[in-house]
Amino acid sequence: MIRVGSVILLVVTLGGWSNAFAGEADDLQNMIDRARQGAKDLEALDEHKAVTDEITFLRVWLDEAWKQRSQQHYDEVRAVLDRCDAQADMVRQRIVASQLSAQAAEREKALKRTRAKIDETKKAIEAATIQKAALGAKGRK
Amino acid sequence: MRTLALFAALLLVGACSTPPKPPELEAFEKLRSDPAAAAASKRAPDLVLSADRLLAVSRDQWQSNDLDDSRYSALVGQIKLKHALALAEQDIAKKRMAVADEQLTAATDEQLRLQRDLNALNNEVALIKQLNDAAAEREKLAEQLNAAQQKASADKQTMAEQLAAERQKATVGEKISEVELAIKTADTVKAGTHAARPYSAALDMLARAQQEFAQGNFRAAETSADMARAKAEEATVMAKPIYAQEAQGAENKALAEALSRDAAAIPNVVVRRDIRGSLQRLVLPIPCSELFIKRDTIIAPGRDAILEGIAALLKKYASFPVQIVGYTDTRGRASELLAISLARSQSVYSALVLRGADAKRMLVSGQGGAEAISDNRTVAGRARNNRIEIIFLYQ
Repeated sequence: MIRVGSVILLVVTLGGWSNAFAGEADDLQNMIDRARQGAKDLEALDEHKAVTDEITFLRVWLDEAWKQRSQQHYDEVRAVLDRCDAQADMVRQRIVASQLSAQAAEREKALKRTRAKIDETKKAIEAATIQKAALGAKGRK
Repeated sequence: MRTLALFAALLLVGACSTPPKPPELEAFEKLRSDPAAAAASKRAPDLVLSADRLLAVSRDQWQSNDLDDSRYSALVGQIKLKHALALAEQDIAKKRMAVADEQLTAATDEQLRLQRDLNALNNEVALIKQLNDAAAEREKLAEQLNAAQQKASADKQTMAEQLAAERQKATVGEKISEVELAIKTADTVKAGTHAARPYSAALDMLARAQQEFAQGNFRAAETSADMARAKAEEATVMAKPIYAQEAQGAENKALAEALSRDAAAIPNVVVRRDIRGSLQRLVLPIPCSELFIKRDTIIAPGRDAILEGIAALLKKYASFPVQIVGYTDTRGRASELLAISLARSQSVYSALVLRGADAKRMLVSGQGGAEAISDNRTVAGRARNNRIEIIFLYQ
């Protein structure tokens, strides 16, 4: 009776342990999938292609995580996923920085255009002043 | 044996030496030495501090020949440092944007102000251009007007000259016509004969005037015409009295001939013509026996028939002065004969006046026995000498 009970307990324990492992694998898979989707979103955000290399690294690392998860090296998977999260944050910030830089460059370009326009206008004013003086002199004759 | 021992020693040294630095660590160190990392450490000191710690860990792990961990630490440290750099880059970009915005606003304002100035200036220029164009147009119009006025003035002057020429032409033509008329007038008084020199000069002048007129030399033609007219008038003036005298003479002659013919038609009258100086006389002797009885001085009744014809003649030829002269024969005293002859003349005069003859043109006289026309010693001669002569005088 005790032997039967021990066997049952062993089976139940082994089953629970097995179920626990299966749940962690799924969680990691979901995390990897979300991270991949996030990488795709970041790629879409990267209009200026400023962080293509970093996103490539991210994808490679996610593949590595998937590989580790397939080999049931869950700790390694978590470590890689942590690094991917940090990488994704960094990529997001760099995208923001590139967008801001692009906007700044656009403003500076607009400023340059405006200054060029100012120079043109100043030249036009100078030419018009000369023309006015010439016309005035002609009119007084 | 010795060689083998040396190889083993080298292998041992090689096994104990530091492994090659992982590329992740090298990249991390390179990134950390970037000057931008200083700005990043100000912006995100926690991240940079964490990265520095990881760099140190990675180096230690590399030194400890724990290459996988060293690589892992280097990657994570890089990520943190890049994160910090990205934040710093964002700040820089924001700052650039703020500066650019501020400068852009100022530049835009300046551009707007300059554009307003330019627009105002362009408007002024356009206005001045319009004014200049208007002035030029006005000047052009003034020139055109001036040219038109000059042309009109020239046309007017030309027309005036043409008109003056036409007037002069007409005047000269008229003058030439007047000259021709004057020459015709001169012709009527036979100036060609009676005033040959001025008449010939007038013809020459007329010919010259006509030639000059045909050549268009109106002024000279006018002068020639004036001279021709003066000459023609001179010729007329010169010829007129001669012509008038000649004409009068011819007329008188014709009248005298008519008178003579008419007088010859009167019965018992024998007409005689004689000349005394410049005067010519048509004498109608009437025997006294035709009018008076014996030595009477009053016309006998029934014997005045002959006077009817004489009175009619006097009235018909009223321009001739007439003498009524009585004559007698020579028998008797001369004074008595004069008285008888005068009385008889008076009687005839009265009888003729009674018959309508003009009394003023008749002159009465008695010559007695003078101017006998026949022999007084015979009866017939005495009868012829007793007579009344009606004498018509003319030149």
